Amino acid sequence: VNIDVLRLSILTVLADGKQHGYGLLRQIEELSGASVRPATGTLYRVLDLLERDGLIADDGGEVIDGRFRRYFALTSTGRDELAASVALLDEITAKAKTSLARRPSARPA
Amino acid sequence: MMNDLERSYRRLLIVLPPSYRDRMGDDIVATLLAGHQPHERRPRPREVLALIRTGLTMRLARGDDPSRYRAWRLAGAVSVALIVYSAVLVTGINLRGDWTSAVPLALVPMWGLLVLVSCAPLASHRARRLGPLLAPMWIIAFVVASRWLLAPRSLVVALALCSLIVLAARGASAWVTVVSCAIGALVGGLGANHVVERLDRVAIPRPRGVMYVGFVFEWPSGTFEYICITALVVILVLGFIRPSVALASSVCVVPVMLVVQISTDRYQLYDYDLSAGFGIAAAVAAFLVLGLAIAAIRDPSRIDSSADAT
Repeated sequence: VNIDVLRLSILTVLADGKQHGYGLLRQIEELSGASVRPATGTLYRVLDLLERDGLIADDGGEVIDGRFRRYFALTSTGRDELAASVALLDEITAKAKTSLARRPSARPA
Repeated sequence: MMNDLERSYRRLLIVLPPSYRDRMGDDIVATLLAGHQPHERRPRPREVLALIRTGLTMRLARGDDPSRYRAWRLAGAVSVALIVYSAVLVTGINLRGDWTSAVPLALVPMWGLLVLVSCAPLASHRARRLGPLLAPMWIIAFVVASRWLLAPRSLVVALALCSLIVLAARGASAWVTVVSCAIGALVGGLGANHVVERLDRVAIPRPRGVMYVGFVFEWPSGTFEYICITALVVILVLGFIRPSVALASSVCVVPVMLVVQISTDRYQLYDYDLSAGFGIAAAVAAFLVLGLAIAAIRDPSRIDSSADAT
């Protein structure tokens, strides 16, 4: 399981349905409250890796505003990976919450 | 209609591997343009840097093809082999205290390089018709033109250039392996000689015109040699980017170079000039950087797949 924020964000957005590059950029930004704003080149690099790992797949394309847009869709492997990532994140989050509750005060930085 | 912004981004796509660019280029440009305001005319630096990084990552870090960069790895291996060879040779000279018997051994890499480059056309299935013509032609030209057993340095460059004509005309395939191997031999020879020269403790003077690994001295200290190297580099780069332009420039450069070479009758041996060592070091560095740059620009998977097909 690879918990990379951009990777996880892409899988999360695609879990809702297929999306094209620009749609992914907008939705990732929205999802993260604008804290994750990948450059287009970065997005496509991660998309390429995900595609090569079989987590997403090319889902055809269509012409929008005179330009060809390619769609990406989550594969069943991608869905399993997302589920595993979420489960791991849940575990980490639960552990973090427990630790914070046990020792609420910390040394000043 | 394509505007300046789109044109700039499309030009930038050259950093991506061609196979990926062909498949995803239009989509990437569409995504880039969608993120811009209508008044923007120039690519955003952040997007430019991300694209360059993506291109480099895709070319260098994708580990699915074990034969990736085979040609340049081979060139590196040839260089290292020559360095080891020269080290053994110099050790032998030190032990024997005699240069005479070492001269034929010192010439082996040079002759190997000549044979390799001369016979390079044979390596490509599609260039077989040219191969039988080119190889003997160059070998005869070499034997006739050189009045000495030692190879004239510029002729080696000319041979490499000649091979590059076919490389440029035919694209890549096995040519990339052969020519880059030859360049590796050249780099290795020059580099090894430079290193060994610095470390040399042999008190006995070498025979005139003999370098440790068989290259003629002063290379590339002369103006003509610099011109040859520049032409070689330019054509090599062009060959990877625009084969047709490379072919045209090769056809122009090689005859001119040979005419100059023959008319100035430079087929002689030269005494070693220490200042040439810096030139050699610079040439070694330039070739290495060039090799990496070419490997990064050109899609290696295409090189290797076409090589396998031949």
